[in-house]
Amino acid sequence: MRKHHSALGGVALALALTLTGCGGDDTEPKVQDTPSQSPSPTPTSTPTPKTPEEKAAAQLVAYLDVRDDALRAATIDFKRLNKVATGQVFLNIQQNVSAIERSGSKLTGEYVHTLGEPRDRGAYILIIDCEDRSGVEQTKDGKPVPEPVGPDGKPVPNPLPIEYKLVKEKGRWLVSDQNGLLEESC
Amino acid sequence: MLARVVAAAVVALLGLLVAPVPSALADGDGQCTQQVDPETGQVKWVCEDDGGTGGTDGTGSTGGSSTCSYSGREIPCTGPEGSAWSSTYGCYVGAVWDPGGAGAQPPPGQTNQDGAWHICYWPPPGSSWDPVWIQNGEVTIDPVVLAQRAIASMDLDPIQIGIVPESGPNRVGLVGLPVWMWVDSPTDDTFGPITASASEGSVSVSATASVASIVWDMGDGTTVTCTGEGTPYADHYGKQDSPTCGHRYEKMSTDQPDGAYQVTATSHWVVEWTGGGQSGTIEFDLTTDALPIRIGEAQVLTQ
Repeated sequence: MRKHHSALGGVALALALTLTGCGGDDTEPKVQDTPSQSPSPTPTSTPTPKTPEEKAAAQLVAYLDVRDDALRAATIDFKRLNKVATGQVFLNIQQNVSAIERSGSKLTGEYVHTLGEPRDRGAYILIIDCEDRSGVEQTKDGKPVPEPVGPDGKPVPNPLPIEYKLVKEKGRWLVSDQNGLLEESC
Repeated sequence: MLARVVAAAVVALLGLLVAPVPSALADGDGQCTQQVDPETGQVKWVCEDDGGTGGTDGTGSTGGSSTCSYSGREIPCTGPEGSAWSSTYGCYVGAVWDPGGAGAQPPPGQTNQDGAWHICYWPPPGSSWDPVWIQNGEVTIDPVVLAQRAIASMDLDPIQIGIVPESGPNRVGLVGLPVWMWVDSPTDDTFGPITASASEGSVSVSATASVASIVWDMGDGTTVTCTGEGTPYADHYGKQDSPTCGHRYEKMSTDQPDGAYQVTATSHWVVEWTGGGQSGTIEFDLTTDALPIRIGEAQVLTQ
């Protein structure tokens, strides 16, 4: 199990920028080379993901970074979001962020995302993210906000597998739908 | 440290774990999304059943789907939290919103009695994450809702099955001989095209529905898809195949329940609608009741 720590801090932000090529107008994200066993202080090469699966996975990582930043900041940077999301996910994040702001709650800490193997279905790609929210704290008026619940009102598992659907628009893979696999486990 | 984290992420990107899992996103049979409660801030997962618009009369309908577009781009048909589409603003207008509780003042020339600041849920691409001033009465109803109302007013029905050999206790078709299927006495509400409108306030939607195809379940494990009404059989056709929609049974129906194949016809309706600055397509199916068709075998005597 390999993990991607998403945080506002410098390391994760640097990671997100590296993974997505964020800040430029490239349609394809870039990924750092895997370092050797004798790591140099700074990676030097930035090969571009080659396969559709790699490109889609890189975009999902970028989306999760944008989403997590938006939830913590209770605001949305559309310039970033437009590059990684579309469809229902695009609306859903707006609902989540606005509702956090309206509720007067505050979200801090970091999610840990662990991506599963992308599944190419032709017109779209499915990827399951095992989302660990152990490091996330949400408070309202100084008190913890109750844990996330399912339709039955019971707390959902942590970590929770969430499946994402990515579609290709104008040459770029975008996260379009999500589905919480409430009955599954990571 | 950076190199280690990056390496971990790269490996994750290149694919790890997870055995094949049934996918609601692929199958469309219900998916769960998280919604934050605007009162408490708590995350609540909401699971929806598949079906989209579904049938219009509840009889024999088998699910459906909708697509919507705005300015040539496909967009979600409905917005979050019951928000209504506004063609004026090009967004789904949600609840009254005062970010930060700062008590935002109305724009020049407006008072708090004239309207309010609202959340605007933007279809992609978004631009500004700011509330939008909406005058009272400016947003009334989602055009998709009106499209569904228009469809409901059409009172659509499954087709009336036309088939030879006919159904009946004294009617028996023969193995290997042509079966002809068609839409018997097609009408606007069984085959289309049919147009209806619905409006509320300043929003008006017009919808036109037509049957795009009919899937015939022949009861013997085969289905036949026909795109037109089919050709009604007449005696002068003899033993010809139907030129448009036909079948041949390979076995007798004696081992079937009641000794007959149960034939159904599922008409696939496609509704194109436009109004309120949006346009879209709604699709759904209507299925007939089963019609029993008996198939026997001709016996030839030789001396």
